[in-house]
Amino acid sequence: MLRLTRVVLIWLNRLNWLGAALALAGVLLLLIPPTAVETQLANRFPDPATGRLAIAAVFGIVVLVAPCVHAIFTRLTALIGTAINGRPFVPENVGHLRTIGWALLAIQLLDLALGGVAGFVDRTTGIAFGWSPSLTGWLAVLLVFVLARVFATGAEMQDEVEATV
Amino acid sequence: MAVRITLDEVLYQRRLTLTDLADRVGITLANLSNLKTGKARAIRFTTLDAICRALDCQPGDILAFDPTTPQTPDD
Repeated sequence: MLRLTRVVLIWLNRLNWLGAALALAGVLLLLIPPTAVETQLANRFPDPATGRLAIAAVFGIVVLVAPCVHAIFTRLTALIGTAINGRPFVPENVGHLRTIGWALLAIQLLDLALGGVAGFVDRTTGIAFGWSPSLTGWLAVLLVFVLARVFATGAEMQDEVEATV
Repeated sequence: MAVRITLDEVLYQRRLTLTDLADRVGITLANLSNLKTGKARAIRFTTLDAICRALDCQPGDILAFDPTTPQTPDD
């Protein structure tokens, strides 16, 4: 299961960067004002320029989330590697978990920014973006930092055991 | 660490090698070597028991405390 999970994470990370590339293309497409895009937006937004900026902001947030997701997937892959080798309680994994915690926090903050954009679109256009705050996400941040502390203690204990004859 | 392992002296008196001792007590040569060279940070009572039985000695024969050795942060 661990080996399968590692393969899944590698492929999900590739999809992550593909999504970021598409989102970046979307940002560029929206910031360079082609007439076709504005015509489409005019049907949905009273002010097409503002609508263009709002959608570009959403795509921009997606682009910013991609490196955070990359950090999470790569650190998780490394952690799984140590578990497969039978020695997960090593100091490196403490660092990996802390990096995952900070990446999750960054994603939560970007989610708040997304909420801001959603609120702006709702107020200016009446279009409901369908955003709601994620308590689970914030709890996950706490959980991962606690887990990092647990792994730190585990690494110390592992070290003691290995130095015991 | 101020606690020293004086296994070499007892092995010499018994005319045994570390390999002989490893075979008798069922501990790997690598672990016994770590113990002899001071790399081990702890010893189990079961290990101490096995070594003393194999060498027919007291724990104090293979352990010594040197109070002049400064204490390290890991101690």
